[in-house]
This record gives sequence, structure tokens and C-alpha cells, in this order.
Amino acid sequence: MDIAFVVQRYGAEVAGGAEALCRDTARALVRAGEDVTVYTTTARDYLSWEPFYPPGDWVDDGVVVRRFTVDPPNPSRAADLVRELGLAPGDPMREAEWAKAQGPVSRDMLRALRRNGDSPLSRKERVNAHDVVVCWTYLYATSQLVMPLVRDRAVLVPLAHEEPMLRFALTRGVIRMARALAFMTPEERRLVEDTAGVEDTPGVVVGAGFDPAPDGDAGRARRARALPDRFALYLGRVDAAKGVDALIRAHAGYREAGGPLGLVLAGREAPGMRIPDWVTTTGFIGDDERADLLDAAEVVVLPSPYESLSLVALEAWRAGRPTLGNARAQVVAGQTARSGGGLLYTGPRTYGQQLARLADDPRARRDMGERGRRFAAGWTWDACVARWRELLTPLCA
Amino acid sequence: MGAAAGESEPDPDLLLEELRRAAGDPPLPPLHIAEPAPSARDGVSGKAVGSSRRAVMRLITPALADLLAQLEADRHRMQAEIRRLEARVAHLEKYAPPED
Repeated sequence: MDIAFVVQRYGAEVAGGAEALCRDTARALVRAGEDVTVYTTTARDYLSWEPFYPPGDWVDDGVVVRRFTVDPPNPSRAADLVRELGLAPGDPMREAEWAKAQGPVSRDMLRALRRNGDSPLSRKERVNAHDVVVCWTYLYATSQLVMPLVRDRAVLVPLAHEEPMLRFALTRGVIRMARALAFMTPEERRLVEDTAGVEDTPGVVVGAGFDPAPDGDAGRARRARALPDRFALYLGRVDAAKGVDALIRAHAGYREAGGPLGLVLAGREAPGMRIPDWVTTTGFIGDDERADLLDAAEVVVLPSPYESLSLVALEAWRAGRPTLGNARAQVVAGQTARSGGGLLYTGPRTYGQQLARLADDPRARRDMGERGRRFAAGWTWDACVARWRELLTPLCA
Repeated sequence: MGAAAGESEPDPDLLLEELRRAAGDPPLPPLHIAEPAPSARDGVSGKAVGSSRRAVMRLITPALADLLAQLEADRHRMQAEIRRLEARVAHLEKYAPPED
């Protein structure tokens, strides 16, 4: 198959779950023998879209990457409009203004895809025509503007969760225009189908895969950093939007009640976060140190209330560590129920209770970790590629 | 393909217009929270009350918008569930054995 991916940012230097997943999926499809061309921008930053990469074509691990420049966005106007539309969605003019203000709007990318896609020639006769065009995330102008150009063979990976932008009419248009939908979890599928009314659009829960993890070494983690003797680990961006401020408050309550586990936050810190002295922070860490910290941790905490797929949960389970997840995140709750690899909390009080339960019972930790490990073992790239083929092959017929 | 896709230069405004048309009607009318009402008082105190209301609203808007998004998802989930149950009941009634 000749597959095009459209995504707002792409590259090893890009920090972002959706973009990393897109890149991993593209590389897995190429390894499996498919042709993948990625249409993306020159940006690394998702607010300013300032150029970081040069425009032009590049090959990344067998994936053809086509980078295009973008119009300057207006992030402060976009933020104002999100605030207004979050309370009153559906105004087409304001939603369109939001899409353009947020960006990234790349006219060169639109031209390139239009040239490839809108031709009186048959698909085989077109230059660089793609069998399918897969737009990653409903949220950015790349998908919003490309979707109408390629609607005869458009696939959307919504990566949706319960957030204000999912209520926008423009978002419903993006979702309804897709010929097929690729979901990360059954919970995301139900959310999108119910809110956009697209039960009849073909869809597959494609999920993700995992490359083999480096072996973790708790001793190495302790030699590298001053870590608490026993601790709960958070992996990811240290940001209030990810529920980290609520996590710190809940963990403070747990400590005041005499809880023995410390808290380690491993990830890049968002500006404005206030971290108390008793919390250990590491800043951004690489894959090897992630594995070492997972080996040293007793529990992995998942505080984010919004997820379309919790890769960190899968990472924790793969390392045999139980998770303690925010029950408000339907996806985390679903993944936890399906795996049996952890517990859930609903607020600060139950956070303390569940963490105490895990801290006091090594056997429960081991059993949950083992169940999680068995669950995560099914998340291979071979299985993921097979699910992508199940979705895309009928569109190429 | 619509007009936006057929033009030689793709126009973002026309592409967004195509999206708006594709959006159609939502499964349920969207929930809205109106702007705070202006104060009934005249003069400086009225202006102060109005701007205080707007400031408070601005402060709580992100949390309110998140709550609305959750509520909206719950409403749609419930409505879809009712639709699925109705379809199931209709199916069962269609194939139910005739009563004696």
C-alpha cells in the first residue's frame, strides 16, 4: 500500500505523545513492507510552529518525510477562542478563526496534497498519488484542512478524549468526513462514535506497539540520582494539564497520614509548575533511565484525567509494575480493568487509600505487575500493523 | 470533491466551509453557558459588578469548559446507549415467538 500520513510535527526531537506514536507507527508499517510518506511541517514547537527543520524531503528510517513551512499562528487569539467556544461551541466563523489562529496552516502542504489527490487521472496514473491519506489527530489545522482535499480516501486517527474542542462543529465535520477511523482504545471509539454520531463509519481499534525495552536496573537508577528508598513514579510531562498538581496535593495528604512512599516526577517540567521540596524531580530522561526508574519504583501513578491511550500504563506493566490510575480517565479505567494490572482512585482520599494498599502488600503488587506484564505482551508492532492493514486494505480495493 | 478542493490554489476558508457543511447536525443540541449578565445597577458600581462577574467567569472558564465536555460526553453516551437498547428490543420483538 502507498500510505500518506499527515501530522502537525514529526521527528525524533519532537516531544509529544501523538507525534511519537505517529512516527513509531509509520516506521512499523515501513518495516512491514508498506510505503509511507509523511506530510508534516518544519516545526518542533506546537504553539509558535517556528521552523526547526529545513523544508523539503527527507528519509527517516525508511519513511519519506516531506516538510512544509507554515503561516504564522496567533496562539493568544487561539487560546481566547478556545475559552469562548468551550462554553458555547458551534459558531462556524469563530471555530474557523480558531483553527487558523492555532494552526499550523501550511499552504504548500495543501498544494502538494491537492496535486496528488485531485486529478482526473486514475489513481495509478497520478504522480505520487497515495492509496490512503491518514490524518493524525482531529485537533490541528493540518488534519482540518487536508481532510476535505482527500476525503475520497481519508482516514482519521482522532486521538480524542473528553475535551472542549471535541464539542466543536468543526471537529464533527472532520470526523464525519473520514472514510474510516483508527482508534487507540475501545473507550475512545465509543466516545467518538457517540459524540459525532458515526457508528456506521468503518473503524478499528489499532492501538500501538512497543519496541523491546532496555533492561532496567534499580541500582543504576539509585547510583545516578538521590531517590527515596521507596517511591511512586510519575512518567511524562510535569504539567497541571496532565493532573500533576492534583497528584502532588493527593500525595501530600498521603504523606501526612504517614504513607511511606515518596514521589518521583520524571519528565520535562512545564513553566509555572510549583514543586514542593519533598518531591524528587529528574527533568527529561532517556529510554535507559526510564527503564531504570521503573525498576526502582514500587508503583506507577497515572494522574491525567484525559487520555486516548495510556502508553505509560503499558510501559509500567511491561516492566511488571502495578499502576494507580485516575478513574476519571475512562481510557485508563478501561485499560486497568482489562489488564488487572493496577488500581484506580477517584480523588485525594481514595488516592491515599489505594496507594497505602499497594505499599503495604508486596504480593498484590507482584500479582498486579504480572497480570499487567501479560496484558502488555500483546502490544507488539506486528499485531498493530495487522490491525492497520485490516483498516486500510478495504479502502485500497 | 467540493469547490475548495477543485480550485487550483486550496483556500483554507473554503476548506473550513466544507468541514462546516460536513458537520451537519449534532446528535444532541450542544450545551451552552451564556456570558454573565450585566449588572442592573447604574454607574460606577454597576460597571464594577459587571467587570467582576466577567473576571470570575474568565477565571473559572477552563474548569467549566472541562466539566461541560464531560457532561456532553455523558449525555451522548447515554443517548447512544438508549438507541442501542431500543434497537435490541425491536430486534427481539421482531423475532419473538408469537403469543398463544
